[in-house]
Amino acid sequence: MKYNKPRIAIWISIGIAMVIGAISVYNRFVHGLIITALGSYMPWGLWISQDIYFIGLSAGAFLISALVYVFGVKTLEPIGPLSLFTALIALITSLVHVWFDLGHLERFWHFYTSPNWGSLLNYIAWAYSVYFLLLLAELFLAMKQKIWTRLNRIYPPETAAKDKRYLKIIAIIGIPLAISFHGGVGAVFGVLVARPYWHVGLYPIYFLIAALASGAASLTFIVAFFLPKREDNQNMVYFLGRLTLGLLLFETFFLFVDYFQTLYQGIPPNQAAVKAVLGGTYWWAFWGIQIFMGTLVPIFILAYPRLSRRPSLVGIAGLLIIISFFLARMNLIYPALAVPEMEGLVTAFADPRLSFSYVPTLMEWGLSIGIMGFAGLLFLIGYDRLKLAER
Amino acid sequence: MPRKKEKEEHHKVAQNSRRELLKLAGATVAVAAAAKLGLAGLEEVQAAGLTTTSPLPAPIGSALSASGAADVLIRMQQELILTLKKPRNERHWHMVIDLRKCVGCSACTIACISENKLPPGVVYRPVMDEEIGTYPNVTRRFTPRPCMQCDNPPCIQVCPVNATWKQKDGVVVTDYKRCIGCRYCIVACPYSARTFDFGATYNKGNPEASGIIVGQAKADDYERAPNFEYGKKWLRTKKADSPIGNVRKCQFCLHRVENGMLPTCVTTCIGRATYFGDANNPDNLVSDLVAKPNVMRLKEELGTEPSTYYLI
Repeated sequence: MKYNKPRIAIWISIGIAMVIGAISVYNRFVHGLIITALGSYMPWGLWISQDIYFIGLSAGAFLISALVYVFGVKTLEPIGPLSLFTALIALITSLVHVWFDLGHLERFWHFYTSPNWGSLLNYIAWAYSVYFLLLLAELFLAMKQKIWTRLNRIYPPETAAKDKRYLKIIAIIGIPLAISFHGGVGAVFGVLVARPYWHVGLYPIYFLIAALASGAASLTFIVAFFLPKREDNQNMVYFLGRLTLGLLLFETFFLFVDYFQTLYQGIPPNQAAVKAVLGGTYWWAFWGIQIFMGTLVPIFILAYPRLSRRPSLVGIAGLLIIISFFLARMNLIYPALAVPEMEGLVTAFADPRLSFSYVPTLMEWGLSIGIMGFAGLLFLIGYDRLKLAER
Repeated sequence: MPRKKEKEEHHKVAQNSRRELLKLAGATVAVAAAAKLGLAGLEEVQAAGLTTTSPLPAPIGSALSASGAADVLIRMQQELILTLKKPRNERHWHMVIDLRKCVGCSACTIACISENKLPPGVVYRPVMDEEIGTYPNVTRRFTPRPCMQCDNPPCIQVCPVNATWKQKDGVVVTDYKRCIGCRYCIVACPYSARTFDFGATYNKGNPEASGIIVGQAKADDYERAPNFEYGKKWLRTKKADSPIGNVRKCQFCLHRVENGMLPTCVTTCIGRATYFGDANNPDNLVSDLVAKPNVMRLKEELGTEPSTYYLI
């Protein structure tokens, strides 16, 4: 373990985050979902938006690892295990967020015992489970040489060749799996006729592109700031930066197309959610954070030749994208629920749990921060123990 | 002619004075009788021919309304008893709400809450109150919104654990023991008909002042009372048989209907605006109403095929 100043700061932050998380976990178990600001008109909030954020990150990181293990992109080969590990940690983070969001978290096994195959939510639960096992298998095979060396076991070339073949097969299976489950997450929202903001045909594809963009951005950030500063690593950062730029442009285009099509014909109920995002109470979050900080600034850094060659700046661009994506996912869930399905419902019955506004409580923030801290802890331990920085 | 008019007036005055005299005489007799019997017992009162009660006039006392037709509740009640003789898969429960009769009193909302012992935050049948138009052409429209019990429900498709489904008799039901509380069905419902039970209470945390706040001890009883949705007993404790952490919604008071009683909102409605019955039988009241030209359903364009109709 390295004991330099930034590292110590990271460990302290993780420690604080986990203490905060522990308090929230206790309250969540003792009091239930009443500690949240959720209601029956806005039943999905911070934890679900964090869930779809992290699962996107996982799918994106995994698909980038597929560039290495299926398509054999040499430049990215050193970070193959790192991207798999990032995908695994992000998956765990996402699943833990969803688990705490369930009204009956002790009944999560009902997914497996009484599944409704027609439900997309059930499909993605099963797909996540298979994907989890697949990630473990792929990570094991990718790291097998290192693990065998540490255990002082012989790793003959024939076994290495066989393992490489298995790895490729599993990675190939993983590609349609990741596409189907993360497209499925998009479809979870996209199939609902009740919510015009979500009932957009391109949602599955949009989620995939956003996942790839956030996965690439997170890997860019990790490689720029965690890997040792060598020239080959710097080339890798540059490559990842280009990849992130392309995916970000694609994602922005999808967002534009979605909003444009919704706003074009001027039908108020369909437009209401988009107008709330663009000009409502939280307009500054969309324009300031999601567009300016999360799209325009990274595009400028990654496209401008002099800036895109500097790894630290590219890493910062990745970080800006990651941070703004949290908000992008909140801007995906909350506006659809904040628009009443029938105007009269706003005043029909007065109750704090029947409100069309939602601001997460401190307990909700605390739990999410705690889960992310725990994920950071797992990541750092794995990063050091598995020596993911080494080649 | 002046003389005739004078004579008439004189006659009228005389008539009036005779009336007054008779009234006075009658009153005197009554007062005398009352004074005599004032401190007497019931036997003496009855023996004297005076009674303390009198029967109501016939039209109010019977089941006939002023127009001579049976009250719709009587008719629906009789139809319900007949429908229950049929097997469940031959019934199709429908509800019709006449918006011309709804006055927006929300008695149905409160009756439903009382019947199902709903906690804060859970409401099955809110009444929407919308003001339409600008002065001087303003109107108010009241729309009670129970569960639509759709024939093509978006909510049952999306439940990942098969905790909600449509019964053969048309009612969309929830299994409180299977629901994991993911709330996907709430998000999928176009009518916001489903609500989540967060475990809120009316009385927990209220200031205690024994002896000063009248009825405080008894007020808790509401929350300790079980509800009998779906014919089972559910208590609001943190154990398995609790509706806390589940998604809940209107179930057409199945626990009442299966026992020969109309849903509470139907019986409570002060304007007789809510009708309920089996639409598979063409003789039933709801079948007549569903066939009226001024019938409509909410969000028809979504194709959910609600079983709850509105007369506008």
